[in-house]
Amino acid sequence: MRLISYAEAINEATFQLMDKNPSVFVMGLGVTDKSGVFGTTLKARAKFPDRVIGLPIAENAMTGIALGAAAGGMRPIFTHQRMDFLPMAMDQIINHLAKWKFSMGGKGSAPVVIRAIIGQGVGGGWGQACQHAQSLQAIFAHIPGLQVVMPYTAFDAKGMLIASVCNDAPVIFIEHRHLHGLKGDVPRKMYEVQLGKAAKLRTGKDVTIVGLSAMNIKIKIAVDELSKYGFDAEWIDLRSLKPWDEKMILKSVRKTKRLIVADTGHKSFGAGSEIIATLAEKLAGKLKGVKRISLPDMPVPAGPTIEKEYYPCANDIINAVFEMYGKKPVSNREYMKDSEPEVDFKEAF
Amino acid sequence: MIQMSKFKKSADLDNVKMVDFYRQMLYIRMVSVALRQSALKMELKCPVHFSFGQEATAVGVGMNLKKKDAIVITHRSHAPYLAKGGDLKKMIAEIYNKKDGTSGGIGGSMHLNSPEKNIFCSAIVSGGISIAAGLALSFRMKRKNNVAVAFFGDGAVEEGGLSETLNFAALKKLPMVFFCENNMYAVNSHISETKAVHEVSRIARAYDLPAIRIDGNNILEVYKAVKTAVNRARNSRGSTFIEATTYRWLEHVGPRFDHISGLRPEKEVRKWISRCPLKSYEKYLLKKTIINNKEISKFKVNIERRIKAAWEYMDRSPYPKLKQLEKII
Repeated sequence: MRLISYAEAINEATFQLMDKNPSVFVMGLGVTDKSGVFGTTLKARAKFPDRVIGLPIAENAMTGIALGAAAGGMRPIFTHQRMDFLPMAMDQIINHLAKWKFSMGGKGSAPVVIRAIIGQGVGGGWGQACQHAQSLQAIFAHIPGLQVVMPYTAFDAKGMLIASVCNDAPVIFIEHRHLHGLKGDVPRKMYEVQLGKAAKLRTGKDVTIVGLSAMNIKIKIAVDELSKYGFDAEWIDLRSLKPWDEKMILKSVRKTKRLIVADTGHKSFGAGSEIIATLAEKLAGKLKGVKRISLPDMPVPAGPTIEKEYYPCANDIINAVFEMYGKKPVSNREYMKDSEPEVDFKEAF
Repeated sequence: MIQMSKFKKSADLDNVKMVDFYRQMLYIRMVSVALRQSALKMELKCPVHFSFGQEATAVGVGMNLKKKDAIVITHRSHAPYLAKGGDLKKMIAEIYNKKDGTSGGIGGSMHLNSPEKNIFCSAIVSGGISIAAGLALSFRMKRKNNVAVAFFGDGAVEEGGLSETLNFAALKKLPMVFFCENNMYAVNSHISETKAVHEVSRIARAYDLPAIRIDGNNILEVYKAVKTAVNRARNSRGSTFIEATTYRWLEHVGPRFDHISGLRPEKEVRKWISRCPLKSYEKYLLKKTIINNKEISKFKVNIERRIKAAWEYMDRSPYPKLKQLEKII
């Protein structure tokens, strides 16, 4: 057993990728900082200073530069400290990166990985507000030609970053800030976790709960609590949003007949909507209950009390199951308080 | 309006090269004429942006580049694609949306990509400029002695992507050339409606990049300016901004003239046609007896043959099927 944090797993994967392949490089605002984007670029920078390139604040052109470099045979890992700045790069991401191979009739490849960090303000009262705390994965998942992944464990963070960089098509690699400090068993060697495959974290028969990214922290608490009430939940970490593991979820819901999707993004047209709609098409008439746990259709507010009201918590997941089984909802302050892990907030952000 | 500059032969040019310039421009013009006929006959099923009047800019760049140098071109792509050595047969097939086109027929005229020839294309105004910078960065990182050229029009100067890229190229001394064809029109909007500064190359000076404004209808002037810029880039001395003033004869997209529909003054169009980059250069070469009419006729016959072969190739090629596309996403 080798316990390292999620951030350290990314740090290690980046270093190993660059050590193995001289075409891999890191680019981004702040990647050369002392703090190294929450510690994730430090090892690479120490060993390969020429291949860790600090950038001007120009997200759109810099994305084009990443794409051009990839067209020239490089494998850039473009790192953003906050996903909220990706909208500045939408022309290059949607019109160029996503279309690169297609517009050449399949000839070209664009091995660009865009790391985007979300969840800067979740529940902690950090007040990052509406332009610094967004989870925009659904926007990218809508675009043909993009892959979107959201690893939850340190093991997956390493294996999926390696798989993403080795993949010839662009990947939006989304990390939740609250996961960076979580430790897991991570092998020292290089390994790939296949994109597009979900992970079953608990086997159960009463309800399927699918989680994205840090929502899995809340699901973990919820499934333990649910078992005390006699509910046997199946918990699936989606890991990869585009493509997503339809097969595993379909198989699970065939058994449980009930599906909850817990997403870090907004409700309307979000990941939950897509997954539930697909299942509704395939299991018409067989579903006994579905529920989206997600952010309200409202921008993120700032403030220590209002953020707790705004973000879904473990209690919401528990109540969604209760509701499906006709049981009276409970209001448990303990799960409202939140299930956030200890995060080291000493770093400037 | 700028007057036509005089042709001035630089010392490094021999007659063979000067004839090559002419033959390339003639080739691009004749292909455009043939394609225009197709467009008028409504045979083309995708939007086509012609480069009539802008042949010298394309050829002046193309003649300075090696196969492994890269260009990123725009929606007005035919001329620079051919000037860089893009395959004619595949281009015609692409514009007809046939399977053997350079992008498998699914890109059409606005997506003339040929990665094997290092020709890349973006149909979003200014979109290709940063991609060219990325290619230049890859040449630097892979220690290749190559250069990337970004083609764009004066309209792209209004986009933020250009400024963002100028800063990065200047900062990193990237081996690239910013090549702006200033034809004074963005779709139907004259430059006076859209820009405070009409001499667009001035934007580069804000980033301490060398910038030069040249007569884009004068092939010798274009060739010389691009040669200097490419040499600078190859010798690790950084990027250059070239503004080549020119004029597009036809409408923004399609085979017709704009003055017919009243979008531009007829006088202006006629004046620029009288400054034709091809005809004026032909006249110069004939006068200097670098070329004679017999040779010109021979070139024409040869090019006609190539054009005919390209159309035959296109005719033989089938349309692609949707099913075949699924695996390329």
